[in-house]
Amino acid sequence: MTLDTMTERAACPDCGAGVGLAADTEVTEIVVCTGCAVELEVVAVGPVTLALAPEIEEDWGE
Amino acid sequence: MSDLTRTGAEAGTGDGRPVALIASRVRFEEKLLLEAFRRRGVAVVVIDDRTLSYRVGDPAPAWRMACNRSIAGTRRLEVSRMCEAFGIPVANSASTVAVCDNKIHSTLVLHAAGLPVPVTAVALAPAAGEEALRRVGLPAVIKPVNGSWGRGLCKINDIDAAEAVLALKESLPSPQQQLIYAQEFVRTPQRDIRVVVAGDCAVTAVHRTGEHWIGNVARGARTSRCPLTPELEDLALRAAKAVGGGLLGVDLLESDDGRLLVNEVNSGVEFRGAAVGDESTAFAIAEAFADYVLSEAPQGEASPGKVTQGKARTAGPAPSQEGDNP
Repeated sequence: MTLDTMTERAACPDCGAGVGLAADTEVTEIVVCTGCAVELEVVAVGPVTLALAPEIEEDWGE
Repeated sequence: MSDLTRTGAEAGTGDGRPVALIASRVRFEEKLLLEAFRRRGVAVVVIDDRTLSYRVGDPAPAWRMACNRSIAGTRRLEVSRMCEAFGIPVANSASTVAVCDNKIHSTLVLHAAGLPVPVTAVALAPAAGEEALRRVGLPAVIKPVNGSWGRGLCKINDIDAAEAVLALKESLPSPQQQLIYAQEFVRTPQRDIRVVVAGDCAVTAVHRTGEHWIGNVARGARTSRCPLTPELEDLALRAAKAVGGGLLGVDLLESDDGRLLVNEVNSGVEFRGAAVGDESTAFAIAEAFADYVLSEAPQGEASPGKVTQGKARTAGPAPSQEGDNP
């Protein structure tokens, strides 16, 4: 994602930094906080709300 | 919570029903799939599998077809079971998911179909594990029956390692974790081959090369283009058919003694790795997957339904839905 494709910013729930999000961001998409590098899940759009992403579970995979 | 039937009717194209893309996470792959459906003028509702619930016997949700992209093996199987119970075509089928997500089951099915697989032995408890290892010989690999991304693989070089790993398996709480699935350690040129299959089409093949004996992209393996030879294509399509067909990632091993083996078949295939250095490959996979999903979708009328879930969003030309995003 480049700066010119980011249309919205939302606060990281962990460190409070503003996280830039692309226009086509989807609910359940995972983004990485540019402030603290934690993985965040997009839990809502319009406006965007971020939450800490769930930890990988035992049965995740292909 | 929203009424998904109403959601589907609003989103409709063609026969009025959208395709349901059911996912735990919208990853690179799901984004490409959404774009592929969008390019075809198809409405899609994105369903978070964590929000699904249904009452047995309820009418079906108004989905034309479901594309099951759940990242969690447990939910992946239940998503396909649910769709099939509602009479909604789903890729992949519950049968395919069940076979692929259990290494014992998939090896038995592949072997029964006459496909070459690594020498494999199963023990139903750690107490019989040494016998299983003796049957395959050392070095060997013990794998979790339901594992993925290369997690939990143990290379057994000698009897001391075997004792340690079997003792650890014995201490694990789940009976499933205590099953012993042991395979010969296949010496390869530090790489394996992933062939991506959509229905009866082998879409592409990539080499996955790593420093570690575990060649998963999730473990840092690099991908590079692999020529899709008739031999690879034939083997991959036969393996895909053996497990029930659908959208699949067939993993092959080239042993240093000249064998080409089917290592496993993945029902929740990821293809981000195929895009490294060559995004067109990943796009081609998404296009092929979308075409396969749509080829499976019926053209009949929608049925009313009452499945509810908390997050549904529409991609493509359909009108946006109000109140679907809490």
